[in-house]
Amino acid sequence: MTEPVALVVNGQRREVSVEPRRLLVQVIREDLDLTGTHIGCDTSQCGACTVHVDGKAVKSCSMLAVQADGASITTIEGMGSGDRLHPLQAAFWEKHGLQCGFCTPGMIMAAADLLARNPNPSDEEIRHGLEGNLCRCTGYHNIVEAVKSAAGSGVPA
Amino acid sequence: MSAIGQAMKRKEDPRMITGRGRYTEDISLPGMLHMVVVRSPEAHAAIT
Repeated sequence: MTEPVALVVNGQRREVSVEPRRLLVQVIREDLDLTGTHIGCDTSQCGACTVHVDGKAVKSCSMLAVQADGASITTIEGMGSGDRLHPLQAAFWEKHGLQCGFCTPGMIMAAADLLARNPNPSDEEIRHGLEGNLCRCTGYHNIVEAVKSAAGSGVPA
Repeated sequence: MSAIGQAMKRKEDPRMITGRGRYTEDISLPGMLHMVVVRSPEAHAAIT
């Protein structure tokens, strides 16, 4: 028993046919082959699955695909364009904001939403804004530095 | 010699910041099999 779901993903119109129980993250990773979005837990805690749904950061593991019918989705693959990095991507690279890189797509998507709402956050506000994203490698220090640096260079909303 | 003592940007980062890392779960090969562990719904039972 499948339902049709129409999405615009990174600017492209995509249509999938899914069981109602299928999670948005499964559609993104398995049906659309966009594996930059990761699954890091079973509990909605880690944030590695964070994408933008209609401009807002959403944990795609906690949304059914059918709930996203008609929505515009942006994944990490949709940040930046061509060979130009999004300021957040550039800042994570510059400030050594990643080690294994598994949490990084989710961090960037969450940070982009944070900066759209608060373009000049304090360290405290960055840490609070990224509470839904876990990192096992870095200790978060350089992630905060990267987000601060991207904010300083003027991140587009 | 000019690289010594300098902060160097890592070579592996461009892939990971653009979502093109290849973690185990991201790999998809033709004809690959999937494994699921089915756990017993009973805490203590006899298999008959």
